[in-house]
Amino acid sequence: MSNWKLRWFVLKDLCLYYFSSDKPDAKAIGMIMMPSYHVSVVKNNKKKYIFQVAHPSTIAKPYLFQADTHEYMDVWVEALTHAAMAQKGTRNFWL
Amino acid sequence: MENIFLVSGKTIGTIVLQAESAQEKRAWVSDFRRIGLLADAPLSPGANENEHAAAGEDEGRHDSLEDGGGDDLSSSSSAPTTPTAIRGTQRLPRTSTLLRSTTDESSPPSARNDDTLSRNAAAKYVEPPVPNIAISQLQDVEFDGWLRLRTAGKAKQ
Repeated sequence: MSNWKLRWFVLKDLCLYYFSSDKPDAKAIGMIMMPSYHVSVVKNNKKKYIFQVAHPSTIAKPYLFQADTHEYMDVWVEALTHAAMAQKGTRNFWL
Repeated sequence: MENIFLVSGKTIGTIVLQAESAQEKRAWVSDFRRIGLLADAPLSPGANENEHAAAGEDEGRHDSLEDGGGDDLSSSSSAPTTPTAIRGTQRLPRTSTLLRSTTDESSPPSARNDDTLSRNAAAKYVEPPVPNIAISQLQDVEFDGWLRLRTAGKAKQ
């Protein structure tokens, strides 16, 4: 049985929320705070349009995503990369 | 989930940690700030003001102890008398060594070698708490759509 699960994702305020449904009353079942995460496309011979969201510290589990098309993957990767890098201009600084 | 806080830094990125109690969280936040990491509890809406005030009190306690010659903080009446665990991992006691090394602001945080850094590694990562939020509450979203998701194995501890 595949571990891949279809989820509805919403990117807002640098947080990626995911839901089991796209109905308005659906409650979030998970959240990834994108700042500091690294977004990259994964080359996979078996599956297409895979990309990964991983934390550089390696203490957090990486997330694997699969899009339906290459174009859709590119759009998501760009949006998530933008959110992941936003920290540089906002919260991350040395005291 | 209670007593969640964030720690951010250039080398560690942003991680989410959970302390055993509010007092422990304040102590950790204070310690992380002392070594140059940005620590806060933004996941507790409405609690930030109190957290900051409490953290300030905690820092004041540290300062007064430093002035007094670097007493072991664990002996303070407001701090735990024994090392306590963070999510099942043993927390080391705060010591006078910690105070002396972390107050050296002339050296970059990455160059400091103190107990706080080793305790940082011992603290267990926890997944961010899932907010009780519905899609309809997320207005003006930047992007949304369907994707297949799979978590890739276990994280390194």
